Amino acid sequence: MSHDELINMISERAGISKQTVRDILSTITDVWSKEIIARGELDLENIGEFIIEHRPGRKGVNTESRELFLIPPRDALTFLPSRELIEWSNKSA
Amino acid sequence: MTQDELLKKCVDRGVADETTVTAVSHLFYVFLLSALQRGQRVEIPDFGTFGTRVVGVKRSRKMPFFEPDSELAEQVNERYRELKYVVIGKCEITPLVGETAYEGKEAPYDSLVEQIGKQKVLDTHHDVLPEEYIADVRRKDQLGPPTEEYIIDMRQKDRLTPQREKPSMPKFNLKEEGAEGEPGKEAPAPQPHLHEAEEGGGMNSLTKVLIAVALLVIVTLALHFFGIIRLWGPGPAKEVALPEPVPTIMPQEQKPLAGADTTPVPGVVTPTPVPVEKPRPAIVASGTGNFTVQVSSWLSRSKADEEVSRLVGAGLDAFVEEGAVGGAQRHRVRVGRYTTQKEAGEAAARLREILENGAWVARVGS
Repeated sequence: MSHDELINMISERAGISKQTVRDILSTITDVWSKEIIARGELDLENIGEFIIEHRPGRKGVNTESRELFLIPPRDALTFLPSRELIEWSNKSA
Repeated sequence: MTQDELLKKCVDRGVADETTVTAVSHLFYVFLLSALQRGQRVEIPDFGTFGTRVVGVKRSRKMPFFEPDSELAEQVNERYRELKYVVIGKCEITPLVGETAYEGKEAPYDSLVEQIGKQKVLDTHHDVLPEEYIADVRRKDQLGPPTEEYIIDMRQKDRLTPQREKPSMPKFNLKEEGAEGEPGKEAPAPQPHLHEAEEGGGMNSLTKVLIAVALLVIVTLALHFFGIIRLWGPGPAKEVALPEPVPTIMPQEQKPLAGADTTPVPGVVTPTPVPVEKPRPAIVASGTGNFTVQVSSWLSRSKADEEVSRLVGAGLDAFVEEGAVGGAQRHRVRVGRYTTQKEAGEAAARLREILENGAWVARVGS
């Protein structure tokens, strides 16, 4: 489902203009992103939990060229889905 | 932060009123669930993508996942944004795993950055070709000629699998050792037991074993010859233990037979039994009867006489009768004379018990 399809469905169901829905959705995701970056985690009750994990650097080998290189450390965003989301995903449509 | 606080932040930005924001948020959640239930992906720009992937052994379980957008990932990874992939060499010349200070998940990235230099780390790009990198390193004399890589590699392999020296075993070929000694190196002194073997004409172990077996066979045959052990054939003849003289059957007036005496000797008609502790049945001989008891039969007269003398010594009325069987003369050793066959049979039964040998009734002169 693309972003436009989602906006059309929400606008049809709620009776709100598409631009309003687009602005509201962008605002919501922006708030989520800022919250994740600021606090390092975000817990949405029905959807799940977003956590920033630190992954240390390590060595890597290119098997073709036999190069040995360093993979730098990084912070990655991980998502832990809620139980409700998992149950809904496994329900038959 | 709760859901209400997040919605309140959105309302504070002035996008829409609280009711509209709440409705859109709720509908977003509903359509997200329905899309995941159908296995679809939901793309949200500048944030990420929600979706499901099949997991589990049976591949029958769906697990929702979230892929952050590249901009969001960069914002999250703000601290290490400047760090890039750094090529540090060829894996052949790097120390093997286990010999480095690589412990756990924490790679020695900081220490390597200190060695190489942060500027080099930041400037190096992962698109550098290996040839260019190797040429650059050679230019700085940090790496030897290409063949040295393999030398280092081989040294590491040798260090992993050291070749142990085999223990020197003594040489048993003393003939060649004595004849073909090295000129510049004196041959070691042979062992005493090996020296003896050389004197014996180069006797090897097989010859020694054969000699030992032969000696064992000779000793065994000698023991068999002297009768100490018995390997084959019948056992040693048992000496017939003759019974002791029985006083009850000993006649009072009996003349022992000596030499060749073909005339029948009349036995004692009324033997007088002597009281003994254990009474035994007497062998009564009438002396003039036609029946007798034959004990044995011999081809030679001398053996028959020996048998008679033994029986007489035992107190029996024994004598020798000659007869011919198939043209050959026989010397029959017989005991007593009886008038009836019944008496002779009883006497034969007694003799069988006493002599532990065959004894049967026969007619005198037959």
